[in-house]
Amino acid sequence: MRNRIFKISQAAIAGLGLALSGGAFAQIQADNAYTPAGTDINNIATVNYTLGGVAQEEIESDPNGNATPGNGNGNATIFDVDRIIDLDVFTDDVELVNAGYDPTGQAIADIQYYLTYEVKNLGNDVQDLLLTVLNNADGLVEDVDNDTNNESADEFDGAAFRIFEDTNGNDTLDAGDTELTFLDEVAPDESRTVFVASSVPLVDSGGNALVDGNAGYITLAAQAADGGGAGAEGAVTTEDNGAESDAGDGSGTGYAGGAGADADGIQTVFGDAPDTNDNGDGDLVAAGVEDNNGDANGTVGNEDGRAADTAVLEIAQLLSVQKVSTVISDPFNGNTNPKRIPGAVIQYTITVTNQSTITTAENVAVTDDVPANVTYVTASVAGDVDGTDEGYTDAANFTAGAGANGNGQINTTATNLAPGEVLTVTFQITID
Amino acid sequence: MKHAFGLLLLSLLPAIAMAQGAISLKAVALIEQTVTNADGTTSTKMVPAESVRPGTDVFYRISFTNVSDQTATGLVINDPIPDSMVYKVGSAYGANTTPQVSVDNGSSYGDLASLTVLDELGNPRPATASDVTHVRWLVNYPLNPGDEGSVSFRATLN
Repeated sequence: MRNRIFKISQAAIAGLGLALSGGAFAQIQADNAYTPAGTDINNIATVNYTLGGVAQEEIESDPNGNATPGNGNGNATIFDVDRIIDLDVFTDDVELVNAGYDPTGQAIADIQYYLTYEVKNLGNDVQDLLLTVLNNADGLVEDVDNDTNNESADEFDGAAFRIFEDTNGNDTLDAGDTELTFLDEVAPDESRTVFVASSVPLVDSGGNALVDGNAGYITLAAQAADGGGAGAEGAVTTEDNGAESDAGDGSGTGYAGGAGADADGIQTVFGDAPDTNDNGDGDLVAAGVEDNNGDANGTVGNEDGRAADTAVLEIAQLLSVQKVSTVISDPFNGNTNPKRIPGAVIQYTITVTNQSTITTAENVAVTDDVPANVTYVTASVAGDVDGTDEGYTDAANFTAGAGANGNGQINTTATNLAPGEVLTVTFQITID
Repeated sequence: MKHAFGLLLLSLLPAIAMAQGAISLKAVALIEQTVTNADGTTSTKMVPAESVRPGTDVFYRISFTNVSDQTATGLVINDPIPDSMVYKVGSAYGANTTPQVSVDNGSSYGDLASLTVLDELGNPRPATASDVTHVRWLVNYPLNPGDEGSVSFRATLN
């Protein structure tokens, strides 16, 4: 039995792999492996030579010239490595949610729906990464999960955003994680997982009740801030990319407060290239915040120390439907261990469950064709909602010959299902 | 006493001779910088590198001057490629010199195309730019008193 379960999960994994390989191979950007900011790059050349046919002792170089022979008498020519600011946010998450959800005040472990993002420092210095959650404009269409099929247009906005870091690294939002507004001290080429919980309204931006498939686009934007203080939110990092106007002396001490210089003697450059992970439409998601998708639509300049990507909250199927068949009797065994042989009576049971905890499913009706090679048992259609009879009749709920195969069709009367309610429909047939 | 003084002089003389070699060697690192002129046009110039952005090419120039009164011969200038930098193939230059590179930390030198390194399986493969550990120049002319020359190469900061 254990072995069988294992096989099923293997199949599920294989199926997932196929789905991924059919996509755009989108993922968080690869490491840049830049030399760390502030590193001294040292260099000493040497010369060997002869005078009058006699080999002389080696002489080392110096930024200002050295003619004293011997190891240690020269000085290295030194420069420092500048600071590059580069970061990426990536998600392909499509989270199925119920309308009317609100994570406000919930314990972390109780939060039912959340979006998952990866946030990576691609620069060469430790940075704090400030996090902001934003709604997208109504009507936005975007292939959020990068499978080349656009999700539905944005129809509703989230609110009550809560941001968490996957502190315990298990890719699941749970009590081991931390609620925060910035990622602290992210090392070069380090990637961290961030979860965003959002409320889901009952109605869209136009006041219409949300229905299955409605989508709300939620963008996580990250902005580089100065690292260096563990536990403290650093100031937003500013670019310092002016001309190196001071005359360098090769001493490696950097510029002493000249134009285009940091106090620490190195410069800070925004090196965040266009973010090709994001298939957004290029709209600004909020004033001054680009979606960084690199498609040349409405970007405010890709080298700005910011990155963002967009996930989607999609209203899930509120209803689950199950259909089973049970053999009632056969002509030879009667009701005792009946077999599905010609003449046997079979009962179909269709159950429809409203899985939502807060939303009533309105006008729920079941349509089912009677299969070929069987005959509908007159007046067998019946139904109830949590035990309350729906009063089905053949006159109202069975149409002979209406099915796709020319047999009959069951059409139940539209009814409303409150959250958690179950509609049960049964009918019987005999095998021809 | 007189004898002792003579010994002192003798002991000082070699020390003075050792203090000054015949060649003064100067190494500078330069980067290209684009400047905007007063009339709005831009031009590029080489400036000493004080801080460098990863991905930038750095131009190393080593200049040598004969500061003695004797002619120096057989000059060999040698420069290790700094850590975190990758040599740019073909960039080693010096008028009337023979540039060579090493991919084995200075044990042997030659043209990059003729050198091999061992891959992770222990099999030889052609050496590439990132394998270069040293560059050297054989100076093919005698350096007379007061004369000077220079050699150069480029490397990219990772």
